[in-house]
Order: sequence, then structure tokens, then C-alpha cells
Amino acid sequence: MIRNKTKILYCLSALVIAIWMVVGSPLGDVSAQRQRSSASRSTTTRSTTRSTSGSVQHSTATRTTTTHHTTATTTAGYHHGSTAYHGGTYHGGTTVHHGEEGYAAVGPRGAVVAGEEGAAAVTRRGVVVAGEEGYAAAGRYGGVVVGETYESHDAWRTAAAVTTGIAIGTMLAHPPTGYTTTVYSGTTYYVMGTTYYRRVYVSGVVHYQVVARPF
Amino acid sequence: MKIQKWVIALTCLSLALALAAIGCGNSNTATSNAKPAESTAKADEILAKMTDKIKSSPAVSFKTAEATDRPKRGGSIEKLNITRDVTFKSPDKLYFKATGDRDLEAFYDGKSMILMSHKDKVWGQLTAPPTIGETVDKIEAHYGMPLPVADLLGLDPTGTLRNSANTGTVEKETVGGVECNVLKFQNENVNWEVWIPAAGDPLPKKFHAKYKKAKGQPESTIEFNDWNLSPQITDNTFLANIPDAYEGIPIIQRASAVIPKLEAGEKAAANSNSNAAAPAEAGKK
Repeated sequence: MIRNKTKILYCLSALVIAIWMVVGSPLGDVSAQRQRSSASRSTTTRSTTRSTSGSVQHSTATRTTTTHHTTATTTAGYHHGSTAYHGGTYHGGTTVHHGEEGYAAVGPRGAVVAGEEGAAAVTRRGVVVAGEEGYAAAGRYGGVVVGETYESHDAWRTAAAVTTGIAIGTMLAHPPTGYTTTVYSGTTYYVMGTTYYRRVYVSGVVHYQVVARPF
Repeated sequence: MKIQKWVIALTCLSLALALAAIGCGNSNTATSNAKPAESTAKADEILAKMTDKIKSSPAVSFKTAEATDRPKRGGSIEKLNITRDVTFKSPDKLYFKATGDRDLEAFYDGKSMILMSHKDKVWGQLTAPPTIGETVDKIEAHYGMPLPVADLLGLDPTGTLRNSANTGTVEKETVGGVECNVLKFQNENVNWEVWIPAAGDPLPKKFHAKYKKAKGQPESTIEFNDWNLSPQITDNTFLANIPDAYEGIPIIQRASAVIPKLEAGEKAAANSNSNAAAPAEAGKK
């Protein structure tokens, strides 16, 4: 009698398990969904490369990134009188730097930014403001320079792994230590050695951008 | 006979257990499918009330205290504490002044945006689209100046927060003695929460976001204060009064916003052999 009951219990248990297996565990589905959702992460590939042969620094990179610039509140860097030089990809008669964290700027001496309709955004002191239409003037009125941002001159030197000069277009969150200022055509230049910087807005923060000697 | 009763009883019990198990399973599945849809709809409804309230006001002003992460080169995160006074009048007037770890005053009048930094005594100007929403999009995409508050308040229709793929929940929490609905949303790019009072004007008291796909997964927390839906403003509120001693400086665009167009522009220039007027003459104000 007891043996019969045990058999019946085994059979019924097996039946329950069988039904469970046929229907499947909903918990399994949930965890699978979680695994699927956590697997969908995209990556961004940085492809900036630099070479320091001769006196020209070439920089190329992908153009699809949307990373933001970096800013800093730490110490300013040092500069040892190196010479600024033009560098970058030669781009249809225009010197262009572009990098993952690059920003476009008007060329040396506030050269020109013109709108698609021929309207330039020029401030009342003649300083050119880079606008959406800046590209339109590239190669016609002046160079468009795309530089990268660094916290300081030291930070640039470490990242760029060069010691001979800092490329035009490069932007620092702080001016180089020991700079002097000079004003030319209404623009204040920060000078260290033979390198000239001027102030620009990057992401709403004042930075110091390397420019060609303005005079 | 007794055995038959046992068999019947145990069979019924087993079937009942099996069906219960199946039922529970289905019920869990239903929860994961139906409940989020319901809670998302509820969260969307509360959010829509907030947006409607703001958009129905002729002008709005408020203050924020922001704690924001800024990813830096090398992967580290800079913590910024910024207070901001904001006034706007839809569709084409915006003013804000950021202090603390930022020094920036911005004036948008429907045509251009002027930035001023008082510590550096500089200012810059960019041409702007005709609406606040488009301008917010532009200054983020082209100039790297995101304004998540505009996105939250519904001023930026293409922002990353308002996303049809959002899933949302509604919880209750008391902030500063005020009971709030906490709307928690998530989509592919961002997890975000907003605290909206359960009673009275549905104006946000707090906002938090984590940008999952941005470098360093930066977070931002914003507390709102001093909401005013009828501030005393004039058109001068949105016009910059630039001191004579201030120097105009360029506003730099992100390369990603310029380079593709640069190529197109150069092709056009090469083809047209342009003889356009010197922009220094054509564009002076």
C-alpha cells in the first residue's frame, strides 16, 4: 500500500516537472532579456596618430566622434621658448588639424569666417567669430585650424610627446607660465618665447589657442 | 477505493500546483511587459503636465545649483559646481548666467548668442537659429555646450532625455519637505530622474542624469529654486550690454561639426572660383 502511494507520488512529481519543463521558466526569460540588454554597448574608437618627423606635426583622426573637450583647474604648464609652426593635414589649400577632441577655429590673425550667404560674424573690434558657416571660407579667405585642447602646456607636451614646438590651433585651458601680453589690432596675445596665444571660447570656457605671430 | 481517492486527490493537487506555477510564470511575464508600459505612461503623463505648465507661461525664470561631471582627457572626471540664473521667453529669447566653477553669461535674442566672461573680460558671438530649441541643439552639437535643463523642460525637442524608447517608473519621495513624484526614465543613452511636486505647480525640484554612452559615464545633478512664471522682463533682458573694456574673442567649434562641411565647402569653392566680397567688409556689424 505504502509502496503504491510512493509510486503515485513519484509519477505526479514527474508530471509536474514535465509540465514545468514544457512551459518553461519565466524567470529564465527575464534573465535572458537582461543579458541581451546589457550586451548592447557601443564603443568609440580613437584613431588619432601623430608623427614628429622634421618640423611638421601631422594629426589625423576619425570625424564621427562627439566627445567633449576637457577643461582643467590645475597647474599651468611651462614653455621653453619653442617655435610655433603650422602643422596638420593639408586640406585643399587649407591647413587643418582635426582630432578626436579637436575644435575648429579661424586661422591666424583672425582670418576670415564667412557665412554661406557671405555674411561674416565679426565682432566690433574686428575679431572674427567662428560660426557654423566657418567651413565655407576655408581655403578662400584664410585657413581653418582645428586644434585639440589640453589642460596646460605640460599636459600638451606629455600627450603629444614632442618637445620642439606646439602646433598652431592647439588650445590650453591655462596660459603658459611666465607669459607676457601684447596687444595687436585690438587682440591681446599671450606670448611665451616665440609662441603666441590668444583667448578663445571652447565649450563656453576661455582657453588659450596657439596662433601664428600676428605681426 | 482509498487508493483511488488518494490518486484523485494527489492528481488534483499536482495539477493545481502545476497550473499555479504556470500561472505565476505568466503573471511574472505580464509584469515585465505590461507594468513598465503602464508606469511609463504614468511618468510621461506627469512629465507632460510639467512641460505644459512651462510652455503655457509667457516667460519663465528659475535658479539652479548644479553638480556636474566633466570627462577629461585621459579618462578622469572633473567635478563642477555651478549655480545658474535662467530666464527665457519662448520661442526665441534666453538668458543665463553661470557662476561658481564657470563664469559665463549668455544672451540669446533669436538671431545670435553672445557669451560674456567677466573674470577674463571677454565676449564672443555666434549666429543662432530662430528658436531656443534649435539654438540649444546647435550650441551643444557645434560648440560643446550642453544644456540638459532645456532638454528636461521640453525646450529641446531633439534632446536625449525625451526619447520614445524611454521606460519609466513613478515613485514618491519628499524633497525639502515637499512630497514629489520621482519619475525615473531610462533609454539607451541615459538614465535620468526628475522630482516633481505631487501637488501644486508641477515644476521640477531636482534632476539627475547619468549619460551611459558618454566617455566616463558622467553624471549631473541639478536642484531647481525660485521658479517664477511671470518674471519682470523686457527685451533688454536678452540683449548683452558689453562693457567697452571687454575684448571680443572667437568661439571655437567642435571639429566634428565643421570638418564634413569643410570638405563640401571646399569642393564648392574649388568649383565656383569664388569672388565673394571680403568678409571683413561684408560682415561687419
